[in-house]
Amino acid sequence: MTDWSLIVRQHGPIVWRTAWRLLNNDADASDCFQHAFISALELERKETIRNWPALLKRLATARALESFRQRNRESNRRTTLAEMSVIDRKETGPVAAAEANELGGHLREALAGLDDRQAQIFCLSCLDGLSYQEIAEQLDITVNHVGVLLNRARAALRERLRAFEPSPAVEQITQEFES
Amino acid sequence: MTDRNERTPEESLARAVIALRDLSIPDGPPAQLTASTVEALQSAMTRPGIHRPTERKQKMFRLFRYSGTAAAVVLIATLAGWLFVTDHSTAFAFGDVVENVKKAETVTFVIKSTPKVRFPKVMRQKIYIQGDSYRQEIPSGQEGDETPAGTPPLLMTVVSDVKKKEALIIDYTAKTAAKYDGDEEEWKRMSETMTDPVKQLRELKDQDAERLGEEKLDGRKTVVYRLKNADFFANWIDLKYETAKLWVDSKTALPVRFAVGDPANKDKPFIVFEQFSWNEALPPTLFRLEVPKGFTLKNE
Repeated sequence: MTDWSLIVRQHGPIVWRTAWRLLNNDADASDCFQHAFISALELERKETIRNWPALLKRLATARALESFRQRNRESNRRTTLAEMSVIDRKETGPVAAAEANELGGHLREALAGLDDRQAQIFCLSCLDGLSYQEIAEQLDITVNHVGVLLNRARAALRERLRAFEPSPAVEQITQEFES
Repeated sequence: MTDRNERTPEESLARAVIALRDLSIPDGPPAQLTASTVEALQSAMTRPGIHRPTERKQKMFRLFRYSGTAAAVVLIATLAGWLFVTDHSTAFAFGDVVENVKKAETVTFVIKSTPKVRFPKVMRQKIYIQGDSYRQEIPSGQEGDETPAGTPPLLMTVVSDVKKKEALIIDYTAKTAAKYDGDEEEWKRMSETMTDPVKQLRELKDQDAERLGEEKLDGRKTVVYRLKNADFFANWIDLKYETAKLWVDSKTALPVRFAVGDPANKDKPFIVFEQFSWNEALPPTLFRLEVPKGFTLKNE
């Protein structure tokens, strides 16, 4: 019998990080956390799980992307203080930190507009550090297919991120303000 | 730093990935979330034949998640002395309501919530509070649910003593009980969950509260207040900034109903606290932190 207490305690932090990174607040991350384990329970009843971290990252990523899309669809969505306060402390200085925060937000937005499988592969590879082999096993596709979809995802994201770049005029004003 | 307009698309993507990958994420998961997740998973494992297992599990998760909110409403009412909205057309002021609540020795009420569109059914639980003791009952049959014959009336109960920092979770289907093993940090977090609404209420100004008028509720006359833009449930982002409405019995000057959220918005939770019963003598057995006879304690 599966020791769920051990699994949740052992892998909970990974699931939490995966969910929080994409959702950026405690409530949605908690929701995602629970759904990931519910899905894992259902899967575990049908098959033997060989790689719990990879499975849980995949389930959390899928759920988080779905939640993020749903959240974006809410027309009256408001930015919360919690979201505003998320600043990458590894960046030096408030401007760099604010820019990192902004870039992260843009990437989330871009991912939400991506094909579901491409978005999942991109997150698992670039954010969660899974190997092509692990992703292929999780999604039941070939390693080559992972590579192809990841390239497509990167191309689509590059294009989408371009839309967030400030116009030269805005950039100039920003620089003047910063200086 | 490279000028943003000089960056190649690949560089922009790389920087965005680094920003998201290296994001400072709060330590987690919270102990309460871990505990409730484990509890629900274990309950699900021991009850394979239960009606609509997945849906029930999801409900249980939700119910546990909103338990902090349940306690919050009482504290909101108890400590809302800072909010003194004079009501000129009734025999009492809002402050009288607060005083009555402060004097109350016990309270019971029912919470009904429609958390999200994917869980369209109403979920129900009953709360008993007496001093530092707290009891949360989750019935087996939720609204519109049919339960199999022989199902116990209660699915789960949580009994806790906030002062002693002890809690017991009783599963009536599995006939098991588990002591809540939350650490100091977890109890602190629970406390914050309950006190944060109070902190927000302290900062409310008269213009934030509006008397809406009188309304008949289940045959009794009530005065209705709207508390606007209050950040009552900071730990529950879904409810942040939602409007809260409070119904007060015209005769007793005690709350009879409290609702948070907009029932018309199907994408957001709508929570109603109702069937309030104040100062009712509650049997001490309700708050006993003892394993019921015939039940197994899982974590001695």
